[in-house]
Amino acid sequence: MSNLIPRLSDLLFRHCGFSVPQGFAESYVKLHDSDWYRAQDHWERVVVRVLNSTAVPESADDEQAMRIAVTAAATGLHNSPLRTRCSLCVSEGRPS
Amino acid sequence: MTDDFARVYRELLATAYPEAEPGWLDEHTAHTLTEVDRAVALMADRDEARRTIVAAVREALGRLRSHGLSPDEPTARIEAGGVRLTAEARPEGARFAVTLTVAAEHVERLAGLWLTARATGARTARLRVRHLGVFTERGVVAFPSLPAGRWTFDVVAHSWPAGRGEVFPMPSAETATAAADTGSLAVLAPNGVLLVLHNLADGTPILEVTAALDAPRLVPIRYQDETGIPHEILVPLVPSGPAPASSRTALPAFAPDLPWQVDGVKDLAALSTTDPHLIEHSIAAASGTSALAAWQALLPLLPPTPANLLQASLTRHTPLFFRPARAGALPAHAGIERRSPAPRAGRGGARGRYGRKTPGSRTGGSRCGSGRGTDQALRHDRAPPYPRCGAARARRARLAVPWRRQSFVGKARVRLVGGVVQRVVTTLARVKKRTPSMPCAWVSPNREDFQPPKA
Repeated sequence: MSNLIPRLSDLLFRHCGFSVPQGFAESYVKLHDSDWYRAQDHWERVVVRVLNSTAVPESADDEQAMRIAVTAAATGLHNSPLRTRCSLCVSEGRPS
Repeated sequence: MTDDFARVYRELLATAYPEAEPGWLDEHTAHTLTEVDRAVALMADRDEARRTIVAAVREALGRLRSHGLSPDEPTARIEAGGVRLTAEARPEGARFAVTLTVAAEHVERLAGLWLTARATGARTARLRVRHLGVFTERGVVAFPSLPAGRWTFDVVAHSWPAGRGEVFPMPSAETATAAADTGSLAVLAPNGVLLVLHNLADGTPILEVTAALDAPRLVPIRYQDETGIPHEILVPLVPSGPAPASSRTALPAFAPDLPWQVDGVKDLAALSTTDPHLIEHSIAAASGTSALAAWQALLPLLPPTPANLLQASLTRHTPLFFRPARAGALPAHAGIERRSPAPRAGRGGARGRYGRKTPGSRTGGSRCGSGRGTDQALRHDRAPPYPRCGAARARRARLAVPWRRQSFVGKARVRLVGGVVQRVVTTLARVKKRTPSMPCAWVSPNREDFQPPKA
């Protein structure tokens, strides 16, 4: 199941199998007003965009590609100004 | 590497901060890309280190298999690939507690790696259960209750990103391996849930979930089909009596060679926040199996909202002729007692002390009275209720229809449909016409003959 986009509820745990910044899942869900479904939706859309970018080398197999995409997406969302404002919420007209 | 990704990230940043200036966007994009590159490189280093140590552990386990670990040889020390593996077994009653300890550099990278242990040998059971165990950060994995035999250990494939403690990755149920062994795959999770995959050889796997519980629980199963689409199914477990609770359910589109996993048991309160499609999918998969009876037994235990949802799904997927596989699977609220077969007293059927028919013999099927009542109606794995007298038997033989095909056998009052002792009524809101409409002349369907009006 590691070639699937992980759930934010799974990323809460230390040994979740993915390398994400500590506290990423909690802060991302809180950024979405603790709406887990909306946060998961936006998280998956961001991961898909990263998967389709050059951040993931073409030589990577499915599991490796997902691990790289999850790490890149979580780091990009957590260690940047996107930590306090979700671009997808803004595009949907929701204040965040 | 970062050109296209930089554009993606800059677009996200510009959407979130439309008022930002281009210089601010460029600065933060460059800074974040540096952070991402560092995180990905660190992850790659960890992955490589972990791959190395896992390969060494695989080699050590292979040598341990050759060396042998059994009650006669309870300890073993293996060195391979820079790791030192120590195996110790000590008796715990009739079973054995086996502990594997790995000593190596960066042994903490083994944390979350799952192993299976199973006992082989002439004295072991026919259905060999694989016991799951997981490495701790200290490189220790414990199997607290292994049966006697020659113990072998394997690394669970796809357990690389082993999840949290309440997610158990299952070993691949490859058809060839399982069919060559017993045709089934049995795995005992650390939380005491036994999972047995049947019918692996013919491609229609049936999953049997068994656990000793004190209250009804749900066991989530996650797997993928051949195209990689994830599936999830909830398996209900309803304890009844001293025997462990058990449910059987189908796994539609299950791919034996792809990873699957089992989550920890969930309380019924989880149904209130569960996706309705997941409940629908689970009940559809349970159709025709004993899991359907467990779903029905959950109905009176749920709050109104999930109960209504469950009731609607059960109405859609409960077959008209449904009987639980065994009486033990019935809930206590049904008011059905399991009776032993009533004694038979000659041609008149079963009679009690004073010559009256016993309750178990009050069947409406045959005047021959085969002692078939509530109990027989619930156990369809017994002998078919053919009449024992000549005329009725001949009539049945002329019909030449197996009794299992009968749409209704037994009493309507004892049938469990939707948790209530009533007949099931299915309302079809929209149906499709079997034959298309054709143009036709406007003619009254009931043309009345010309008659003079009555005076």
